[in-house]
Amino acid sequence: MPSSPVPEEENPDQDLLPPSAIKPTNDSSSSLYNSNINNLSSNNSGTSSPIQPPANIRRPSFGLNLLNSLTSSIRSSNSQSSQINPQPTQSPPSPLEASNIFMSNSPTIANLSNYASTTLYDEAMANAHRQHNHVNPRLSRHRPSRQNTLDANNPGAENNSSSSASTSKEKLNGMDKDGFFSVRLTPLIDHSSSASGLYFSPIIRKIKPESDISIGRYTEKNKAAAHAPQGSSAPIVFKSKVVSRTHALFHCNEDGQWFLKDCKSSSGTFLNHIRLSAASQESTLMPLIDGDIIQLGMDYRGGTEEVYRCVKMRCEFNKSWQRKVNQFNLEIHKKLKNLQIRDDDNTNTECAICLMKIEPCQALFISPCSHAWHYKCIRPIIIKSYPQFYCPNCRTMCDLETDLDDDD
Amino acid sequence: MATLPKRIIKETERLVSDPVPGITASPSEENLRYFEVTIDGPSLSPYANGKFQLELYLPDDYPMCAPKVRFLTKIYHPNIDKLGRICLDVLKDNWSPALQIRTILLSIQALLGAPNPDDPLANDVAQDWKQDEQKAIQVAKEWTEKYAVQK
Repeated sequence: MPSSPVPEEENPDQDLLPPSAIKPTNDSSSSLYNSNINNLSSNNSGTSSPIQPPANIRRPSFGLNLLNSLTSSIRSSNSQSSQINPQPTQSPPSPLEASNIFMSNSPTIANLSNYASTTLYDEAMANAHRQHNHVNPRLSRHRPSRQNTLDANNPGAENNSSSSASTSKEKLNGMDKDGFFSVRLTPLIDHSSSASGLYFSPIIRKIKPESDISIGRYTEKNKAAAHAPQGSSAPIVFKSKVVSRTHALFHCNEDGQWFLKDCKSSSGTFLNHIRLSAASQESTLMPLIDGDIIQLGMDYRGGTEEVYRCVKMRCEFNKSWQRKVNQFNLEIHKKLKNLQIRDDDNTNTECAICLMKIEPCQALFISPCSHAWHYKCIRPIIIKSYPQFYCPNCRTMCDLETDLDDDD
Repeated sequence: MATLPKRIIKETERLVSDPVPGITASPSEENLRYFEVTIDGPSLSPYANGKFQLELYLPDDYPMCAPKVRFLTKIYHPNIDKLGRICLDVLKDNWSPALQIRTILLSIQALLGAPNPDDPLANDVAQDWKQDEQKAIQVAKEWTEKYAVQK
C-alpha cells in the first residue's frame, strides 16, 4: 500500500522523503465523506484555503481536512465574519456537495464557540495554530526537528510568554490521580472501502511515566492481555498475522509525552501513513500527538480475510477523549428535555431500558412519540423492525422513514 | 456467571428500597437473576388472604425479552395452568423493555383480580368458570384457603 503513487499536488516536504513513503490521502479523505467524491479531496484544501495562510494551502497529509475546516469555521465565527459562506462560491460547482457537508456542520460548531468557555475557545485556537505549525515538521520527522514537533504538541509553545503556564497545566490534566498516563486506541474503519482495517474494540491503557507498553500479535502466551481490563498496563495485542509478535512499543516520558517505536517488525509500523523503519529494523522514538494514525503492517492477500488485515488506529493520549460538559451541552440537553412529553419527571430523565439517567454528552435516540433512550439501549429495537418503530414506552407504532415535510 | 447488568442491579435495589404493597420479590443468593416472589391475593377476589408463591427468572437477554414467571402455589384460575404457567400478554408478545419486574408482578396481581375465561390457559378451569361462575369462584376460594393461606 505505501508504494502507491504520490498525490499530484505540490508537497514542499516531498523531496525529503522517498516517494514510496507517502501514502495517497484519498482513502482517508474518502472516509470523511464516505461517498464517491474522492476526486474532490484536492478541492477541500481549496475550500478551506480562503481563511488560511498561504503556507497552508497544501493539503495536510492525513485526513485533517475536516479538522482544518472545523477549526477554520470556529475562527471565522468568532471573528464575527461570514467567511464560511464564500466557500462554495469560490470553489468550482462540483465540490458543492463537500461544502455542504461543512455547511451543515458549521452552524453547530459556530454555536459551540458562542457557548464555549474561554478555555475551550483557547484550545480551539491553539489547535488551529498547531495545525499551521505542525504539519510541516511532522512530515519530516527524520530531520532533527524533534523539538519542533514537541512544540507543536504543546498548544502554548509558540507563544513563549504563555508556554510554561500551559505546559504545567497540561501535565496536571494529562496525569491521572494515581500518577498514570493513558492512551486510547480506536480502530479506523472505513466501511466504504473493501479493504478496511482489522476491527477491534477501543483499547485503553495506562502506564506510569518513563515506561513502555508493547504492541504485538495475539498469541497463546499473551492471551491474558487480550482480555485485560480497560485502563490496565497489559501489552496491546491484535489478532492479525501481519502484526509481528513484538511489533512496536509506546513509550511515555515523565512529562506525559508519548512516543512510538518500531521494534524490528517485519511488515512495518506507519505513523500517519509514513513507515518508521525498513523491515526488521528498529526505528527511533517518534513523538505522538492526539489524532495520530498508526498502522501496523500491511494488508496481506488483499486483506479479505480478517486475520490478514493490517491494524489502523487513531490514538488519543492522557484522557483527552473524555469530554467535559460545557455550556452548549447543558443548554442543548435542557432543550431536549423540553421536547419530551412531560408525563412524569422520572421517566423524563431516565432511560426506560437501562434505568440510568439521560445526561448531556450521551448518544440519544428520540422517537416521533417524543420518548428518548440512550442510542445504545434502543438500537436493538430500532434495527429489529426498521423502519417501523414500536415505542416500548407508549406502544406507539412510528415510521422512521416518514418524509420530513415542513408543510403543516 | 457473567456480570449482572446494571439494570438488574438497579431494579433489585429499588424493589428493596421501595417495595410494592402486597408484593415481595427477593433475589436468590446463588443466582441474582432468580427471584422468589410472593403476591397477596387482591382483597375483593376469591384469592383474598392468600399469599401466592411464584418464581421469576430474568433470561440473559432481559430486558429485551420478558422475565419468566411461574406460580409455585397451586391456584384455581382460568389463565394459570396446573404447572403454574401464566397466560398474560405482557409476558409474551406485549413485553416491552420499558416494563420492569415491578410492573410485571403488578400485572399478575391484577390478573388475579380479573380472571379472563375467554382467553384460557387452563381449559378445564375456564370451562367451569363459564358454566357456573359462582361455583368456580367458590372452588377458587377453597383452593386459596387450602394452599395459599398460611396457618
